[in-house]
Amino acid sequence: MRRIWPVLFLASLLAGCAAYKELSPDPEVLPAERGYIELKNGDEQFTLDKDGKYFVTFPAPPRDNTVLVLTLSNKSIIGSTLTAVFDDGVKPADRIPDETAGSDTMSVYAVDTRVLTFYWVIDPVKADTRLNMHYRYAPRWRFTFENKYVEYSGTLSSNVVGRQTYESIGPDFMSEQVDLKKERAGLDRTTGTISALRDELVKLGTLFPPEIAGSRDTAYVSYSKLRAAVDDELKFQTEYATALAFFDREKDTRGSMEAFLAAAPTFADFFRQSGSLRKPVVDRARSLIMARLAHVPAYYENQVKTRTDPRPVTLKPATAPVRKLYAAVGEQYPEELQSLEDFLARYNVEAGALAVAKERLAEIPKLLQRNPTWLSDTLYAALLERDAAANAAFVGSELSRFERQAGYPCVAALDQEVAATTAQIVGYQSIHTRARTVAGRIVMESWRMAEEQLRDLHNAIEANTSASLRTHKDMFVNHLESDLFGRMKAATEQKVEAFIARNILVTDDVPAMYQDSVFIPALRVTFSAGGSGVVAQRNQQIESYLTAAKNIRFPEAAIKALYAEFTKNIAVKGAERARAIVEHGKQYRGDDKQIKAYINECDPQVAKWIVKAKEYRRVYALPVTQNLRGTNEYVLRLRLNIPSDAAFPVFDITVKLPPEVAAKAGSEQWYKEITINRKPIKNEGRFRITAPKADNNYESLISPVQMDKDGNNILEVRFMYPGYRVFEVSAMAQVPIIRKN
Amino acid sequence: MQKRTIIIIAAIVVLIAAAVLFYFLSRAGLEGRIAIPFIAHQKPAIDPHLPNANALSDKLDEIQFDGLFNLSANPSGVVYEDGLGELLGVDENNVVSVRLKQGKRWHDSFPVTMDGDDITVGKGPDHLFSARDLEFTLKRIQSLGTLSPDYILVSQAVDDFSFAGPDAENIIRFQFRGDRIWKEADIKEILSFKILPEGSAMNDLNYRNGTGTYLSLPPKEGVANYYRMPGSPALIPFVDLMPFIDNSTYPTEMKGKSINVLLDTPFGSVSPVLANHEEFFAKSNISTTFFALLFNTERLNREQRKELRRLVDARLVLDRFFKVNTPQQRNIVDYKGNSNNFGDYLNTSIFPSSSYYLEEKVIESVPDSSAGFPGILPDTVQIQVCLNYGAREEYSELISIFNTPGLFGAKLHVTAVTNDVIRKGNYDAVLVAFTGYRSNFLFDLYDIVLREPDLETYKINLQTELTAEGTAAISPASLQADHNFFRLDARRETVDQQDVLQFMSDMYGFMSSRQVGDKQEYARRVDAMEQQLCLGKWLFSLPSLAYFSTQFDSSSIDLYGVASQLSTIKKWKEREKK
Repeated sequence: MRRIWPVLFLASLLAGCAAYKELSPDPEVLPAERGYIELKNGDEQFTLDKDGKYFVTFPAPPRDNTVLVLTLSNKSIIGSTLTAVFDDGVKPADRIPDETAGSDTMSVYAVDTRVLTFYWVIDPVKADTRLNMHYRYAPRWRFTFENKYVEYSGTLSSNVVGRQTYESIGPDFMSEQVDLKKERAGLDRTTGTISALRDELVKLGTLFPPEIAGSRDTAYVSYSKLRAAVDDELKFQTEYATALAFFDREKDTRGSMEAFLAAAPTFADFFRQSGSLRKPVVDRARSLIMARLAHVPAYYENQVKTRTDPRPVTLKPATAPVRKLYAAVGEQYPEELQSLEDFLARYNVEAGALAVAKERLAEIPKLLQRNPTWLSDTLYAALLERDAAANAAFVGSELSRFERQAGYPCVAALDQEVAATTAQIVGYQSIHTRARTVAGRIVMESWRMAEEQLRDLHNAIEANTSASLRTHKDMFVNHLESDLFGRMKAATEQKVEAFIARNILVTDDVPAMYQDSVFIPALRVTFSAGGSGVVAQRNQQIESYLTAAKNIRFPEAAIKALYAEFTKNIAVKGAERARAIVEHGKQYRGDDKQIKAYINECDPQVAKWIVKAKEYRRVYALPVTQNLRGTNEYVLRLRLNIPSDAAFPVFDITVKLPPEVAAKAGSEQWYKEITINRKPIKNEGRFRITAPKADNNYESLISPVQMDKDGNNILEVRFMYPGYRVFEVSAMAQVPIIRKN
Repeated sequence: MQKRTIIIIAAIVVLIAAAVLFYFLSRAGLEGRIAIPFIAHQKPAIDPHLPNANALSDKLDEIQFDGLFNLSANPSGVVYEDGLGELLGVDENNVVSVRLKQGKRWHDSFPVTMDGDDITVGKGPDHLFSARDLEFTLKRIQSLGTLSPDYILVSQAVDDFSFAGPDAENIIRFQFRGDRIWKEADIKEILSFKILPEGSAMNDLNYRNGTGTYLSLPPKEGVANYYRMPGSPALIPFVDLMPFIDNSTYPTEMKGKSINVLLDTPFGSVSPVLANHEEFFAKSNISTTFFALLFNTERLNREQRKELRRLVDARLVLDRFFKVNTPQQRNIVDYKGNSNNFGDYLNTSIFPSSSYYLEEKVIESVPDSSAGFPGILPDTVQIQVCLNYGAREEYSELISIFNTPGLFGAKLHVTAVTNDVIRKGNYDAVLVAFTGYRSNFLFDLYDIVLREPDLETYKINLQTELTAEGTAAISPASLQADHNFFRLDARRETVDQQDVLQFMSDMYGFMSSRQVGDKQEYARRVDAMEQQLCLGKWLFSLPSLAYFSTQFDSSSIDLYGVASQLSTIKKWKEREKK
């Protein structure tokens, strides 16, 4: 098996080399232009076997733009292609296209001098056959012309247009008598065909060798005649079309000066190109145009006369083409039209200036649209800059010198608008200048002056001359008023907040803090554009804030803070803090139960509730005098409100005292006074007060304490202590025992 | 007159003055003595568990006996000191532990011999305090029942009047009731009853053996003085009870240094005789004495009693009693700092105005505004009074007032009689001073209603019986006509009998209750029924004012309460001489 593989491989190579068979014509193929020459193998035609593969070599032509034409009688049963690259096969990309692919008898291939040899490859052969074939090397122009001449001649003859109508156009020509559009449509079609024919001929003409000109070559002579006929017909049709187009356009614009003037460039062009046209045609066209131009000045003047606004005027259509049309028809440009243009030139300058001024003024609302900073000096600088710029835009009025147009409504409107705009600018300048001052005062926190100047702005005469100015002014007044109040309120609040933050833990002279000017409005509002109701409402608003700050938030914050410090360590400034809490409490008008509980807890004058029997309650005994370095009087008040079924509830009160207070109870009375509902409780009477001692845990029993069913049972204990501090005392109530003594 | 005669007379005067001066300078002083006066024929009877009509009796309990804890005082109020016990504590189950003091001797461990004023305190066999003494005492108190304030006191806390122990460490344990938080002061109050030695008579006239600060000396004519017990912390050795015929001379006796403590002044008023602050100082107190006309229910029917009550204008009596708005006005002060507030002492109920029940308006007095009709009264309403058992001065003044012509429709006639006459009950009304009353919850109604009409011997005629439910109730036998001033007889079928029985029952309810609320309700009922029965005219209370000689250091005398006036006596000390 190993010996067989090399043999098979070599055989396959050899088989490949032998796939195409070259047919070598006799006589050999010559590239000269000699008409059709049969391809023969000697005297015979080549025989092609079914499924055989063949090729024939053709030499390159002597010049470029040459075609190789093959005629075949059996083109239908063989497949063939021409290629410049042949290597036992033809790649599709290398195939030269057959320009007559649909023909059953002919193949045409473009050949040139860049390739030495072309291969005509036959593959496949569908049946055994004889190769009945002729070949011809031919210049392309010739081959083409020969093939197209009949067609070209037919095209020309079928698109020739009659010249009677054109020839008949004269002074009496009435365009209504001719269906111009239909005529133009037909003309468009024929002209297009002939134009395309002419282009093809021109293109074909480029293929002619230079030396053909002046020769008697039949094909060339036929070509030249055909070309001249085509050119003549095309020239006629073009002129005819130009004339028809003019008359048709003129006809279309009748009844519409605007359309007529819009077509002025077309008409002017017509006259500029009219040199090739028949003169009667041109004369008739001029007469038509001149008739139309007579109405043009009035048309334009009317555009201006009817304007009642002060905006710049632009004549429509523009007069420049019209001016050219006048020139094209040889007519003088009308004086009234020139005057109108001169007027408009000035008018538009002045109106433009007004427009510029208004545009600049229009920037002012834009500056104010997006929530500007009303207190920003930059804003007012920008506003005043716009005011000045608007003012600077104006030019002096010269329209009075145009007598013909001076009375036009637009002139009056312009004058009026200029006056109004000037007034607006003056008003704006006043408003903006004043507002700037107010803003500055607000920023400087000169509340009173700011308010006075705001009032001045509101009442300024020049700011109230028109509704728009009033609106503009009101906008500033409203915003500045709002900012003034807001800033003043914020400043007041800021001071209050800072004051509160600074003083919540201060214990000295708390009542004086509530007299501080921080709780007085920085400004008592006296002005508002909204009237006295708004003034009252704003004053109320800030008063409400100050009242809340003074009577709720400050005491609340202070009490919370002081109480936190107080309970953290009552031995450190306890009495001072408790007293401060009570003083704050005197100002407190809130309803926070916790705060009230703190106040009550620290107020020696407020009785501490005992509402449950047999439970100790911790309370503070606080000084009611303020001798910081000496002896002070302390008060402890208990309110007994213990539910009881008894008609005359009676209780023992046990008071657990701090050792410091009770330490000397054995040698001197530890309390100054004990009362129930202001009636003294004395040991000498039917009451029992036990003395606190170390061995009874410094408890003092007070018994019996009669309790009013209505709850008005205030047990008050007063004692003296050489110091200024706070004591913790626990108290408990329970039903008494009956004592003997 | 001849010059010689003048010289002789002058010499005699000088000699007499010298003799008088010598007498005063040479007589024995009161140094080392506390001298307290009493009415000679109203001898104090010492029973630490029963109240006595003689207020001094209850006060002397304090110096002679100890409780487990003793009431005392300091400037800040009442304190309890260890007596025969030491409080160890109370646990969560309300078990109170008390260690009994060891080595505490009864006074009979110290035989006393007296030779004139010389006293020798010897040393006999030790009679030591023990738990058995405490057990005996509790049994006695329990047996006395509502007669004894200590019964109410103890029954509030210890249901069975018993204790556990003592253990090896002499600790006893009481199971206290669980209805309250027992604070030290309450526990010690409960256990402050005085302790008698085991074997004492259950019902004796006088109890003389105690463990207190002062031991009782052999009595003379039924009255014993006291001497400081060996080892006692008392600073003053002697407590002498000085007999006098009546209280009218007390101020002058004090002025004359025969006594140095006067626990109550005549009329309860400020004494002009003792006005010198260099020599005396005073301490006022709540009232402890009130006067009343007690109506004889056998001789006056209910309408007559009401008319008599209406007829006697107590305010008029009071004003004349204190000679209000006259140059001789008897000035008064009270412990609250008020002065001459006479109206505060008027009484309108069987409960005095100073008592808890009136002062806190548990009872509202309603003045009788109905028109009087004196004609239903006898032509002369016979009122008797005995001047021999205290308050002689006050009685005399009242006799004078009631017998003043033109007053009270000239219907009243007051006669001073002997105790025997009063016992016979031949009066329409009897004028009685009730002394030593308490204004606290423990106001003593027995003292008024059940007291034997014998001013010499204090006796309460309480008889109880068991009800069908097995609970104690007062027996109608407690009210027999011969055994109370009103001559009420609960067993006799009269128109008043049902009201009398109800009154008696309510009174017992009041006295036996240990609940404050119950006491209030019973007080209202007692008052209401008494207003219907109209048993007496409740005139007025006396202020209470005590004087002390500046022989004593005033700062050492802290007096709170009434019966406990002498409970601080061991702290009294004499003022240091300059």
